Amino acid sequence: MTSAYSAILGRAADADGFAHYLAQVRTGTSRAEIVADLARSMEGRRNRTQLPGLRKITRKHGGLVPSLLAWLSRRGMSTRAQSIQRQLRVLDNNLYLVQQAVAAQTDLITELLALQRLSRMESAASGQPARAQGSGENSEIARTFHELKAILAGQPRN
Amino acid sequence: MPLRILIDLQGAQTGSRLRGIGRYSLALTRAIARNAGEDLIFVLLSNQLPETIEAIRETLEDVLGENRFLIFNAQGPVSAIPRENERRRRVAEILREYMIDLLSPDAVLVTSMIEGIHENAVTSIGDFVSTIPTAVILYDLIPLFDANIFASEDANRWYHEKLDYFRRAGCLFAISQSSMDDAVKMLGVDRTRVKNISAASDSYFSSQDVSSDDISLVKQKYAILRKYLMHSSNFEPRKNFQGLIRAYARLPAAVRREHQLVLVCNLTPSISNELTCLATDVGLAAGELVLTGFVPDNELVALYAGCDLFVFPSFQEGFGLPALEAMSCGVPTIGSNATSVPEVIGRADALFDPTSPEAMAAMMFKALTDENFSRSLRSHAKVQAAKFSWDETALRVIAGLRELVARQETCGPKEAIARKRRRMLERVAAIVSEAQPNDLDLLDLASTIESNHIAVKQLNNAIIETGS
Repeated sequence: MTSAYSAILGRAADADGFAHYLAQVRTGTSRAEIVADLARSMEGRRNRTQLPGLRKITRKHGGLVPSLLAWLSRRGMSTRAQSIQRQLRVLDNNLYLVQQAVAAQTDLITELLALQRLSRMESAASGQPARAQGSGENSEIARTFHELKAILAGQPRN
Repeated sequence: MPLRILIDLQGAQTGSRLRGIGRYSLALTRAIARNAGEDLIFVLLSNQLPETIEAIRETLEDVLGENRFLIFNAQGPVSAIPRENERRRRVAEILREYMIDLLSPDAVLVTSMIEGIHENAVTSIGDFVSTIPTAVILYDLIPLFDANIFASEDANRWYHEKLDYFRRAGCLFAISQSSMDDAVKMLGVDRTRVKNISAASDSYFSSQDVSSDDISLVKQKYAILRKYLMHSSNFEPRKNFQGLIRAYARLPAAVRREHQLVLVCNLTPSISNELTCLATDVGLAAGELVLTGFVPDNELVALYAGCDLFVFPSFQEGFGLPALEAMSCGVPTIGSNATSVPEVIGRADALFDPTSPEAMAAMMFKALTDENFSRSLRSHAKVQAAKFSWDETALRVIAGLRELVARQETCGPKEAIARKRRRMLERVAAIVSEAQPNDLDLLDLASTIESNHIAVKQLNNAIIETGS
C-alpha cells in the first residue's frame, strides 16, 4: 500500500486513506483494483503517473473513468468465480496476519528462553562459591553474551 | 629450552583419515612424540568430527600421554560447500585461531591444510593472529595441474584461499624434493621457507613376518595362479592404470603367460568394467589381468611380498608411498621418471617415461627376464627403503620448528589478553550481525566461545598439575 501511494500519488499514505484501503485488502479486494482505484482518483489523474503496466491495469479495472465498460471488462468471469477469488484473497490475508502474529510470538519466546537460561546461569554463578565447578563458566558465558549484544547494538545495521 | 608444539590433526579426522594424508598425519605425530625429548606435544582435534576423536586418542595416548588433547568447538556445519555455511565457517576460523592463541604454543604444525570443503574441518593461518609460528605440511599441488579436481567456482576459490594460507605459513614442510620445487615455482614461496621432510612407510610393510603360506593364501583368494607383477594405489587418472595395461599387453605372450598383472585397488564397478574392456581391446587373454578390488593391509603386505616386480607408472605424485612400501618389502621396483617418483625409487636405470607404453614395456621386460637386473633391483630395494624413516622425518620437523621459532622470536609487542579477546568478539559480532541473530543464537555463540576458553584452561591446569 505504501509503495502504491508513493508510486502513484508521489506521497506517503494519509491515515484515513491507508485505513480505508487496508480494510479493502483484508476483505478481498485485489491489489490491482486498489492500484486502479488510486490511479483514477482526482489526485491520481492530476499526477498522471507513468508506470509500466499501469495503463493495462486501469483499463482492465475500468479505465480512468468508471463506467459500464468497467463492468463489461470483467464480463469474462462469472460473478461466482469473482466471489471465490475474493474469498481466496480474504483467506490469503488472514493467513498473512496469522504468520505475522506467529513470528512475533516466536521472537518473544526466543527472547524469553534466552533470558531464562541467562538468569539461571547468573543465579547459579552468584549462589555458589566463586571457584566451584561450572559457576565460573556460567558467569563467563553470561558476560560474553552481554558483550556480544552490546557490540551488536552499537553496530550500524546495513 | 623445551618447546610447546601444537599439532592440528583434523586431517586425521576427515575423510583423509582413510587415505594417505590421514595415515601420514598420525604416523608423523607418533614419531614426533617419540622424538620430542623435553618438548611438549599437544594435539588439536575438532568436536565437529566427534566420532573420530576417541580412536585418535587411543592411537596416540601411549606416546603422547593423557592430557595432550585440545578439543576445538564451533557451531556447525562449517564446510566450505554449501555456501550457506560461509558465516559459520568464518566465525569458526577466528575461534580456532583465538583458541590456539590462548594456549599460546611456541609453534603450530598443521598436518593437512586442504581440509573442510565438504566436511566440518577448519584450517586457517593469520586470519586472526599472525604471531604464532606456524608450519604446514605440503603433500602436493596437484589441483593446480588438474583443474578437474576443484572444478566448481566455489571449490576453486576455496582451494586458492588455502594456497594463500600456505604462503602465510612460516614454514612449509614438503614431503618430497619435487613438492618442494613446486611450492617455490607455483606458490612463489621463498626457498628458505620450504623444507623437504620426506616420508616413510609404516613399519608394518616388511616381508619379514610374511610366510609362504600367507602368500599362497592371498594368491588363492584373489585368483592369482602364476607369478605376477603388481601395482597398487587409489584409482585416479594420474595413476596411469591404462598405460600400465597397454605396456603389459606389449610384453611377449610367453612372458605374459608366465606373469599375471595384478592391480590392487578399490575400484567402482564402472572403472573396473572400463579396465576390463581395455584389457580385451589390447588383446590380453582371460586371467592375465587381475583386479583385486579393496584389499586390507595384512593381505596387501603378503601381495607385495609375493610379487616378482612392482610397477609404479604414475604421471604425478607428491611422494609415491606404494613404491616405498613395495621396496620396504624387498620387492624389485620400477617406476615413472616423473615428479617425486625418481626420489623414492632412487636409481636412474629403474625409471621409464610414463607416457610411453613402449618404454614401460621394455623396462618391465628387462626386470622380469634379466635375472641379474632383477637381483640388483631386489638388493637395492632394501637399501633404498632404509633411507626413509618416520624418526628421520620427525627429527627434520622438530628441527624445522626450532628454526622457525628462533627466526620469529623478534616479533612486535604482544597484544594484551583483554584487548585480544575484545578484538575477537568484535570480529565475530561483525560476521554474525549480517544474519541478525536472536538472543538464543548469541547465547549459543557465547557458550561455544567459553567452552573453548575452558578447554584451554583445563589443559593448562593439567599440565601444571602433572608438573610437566
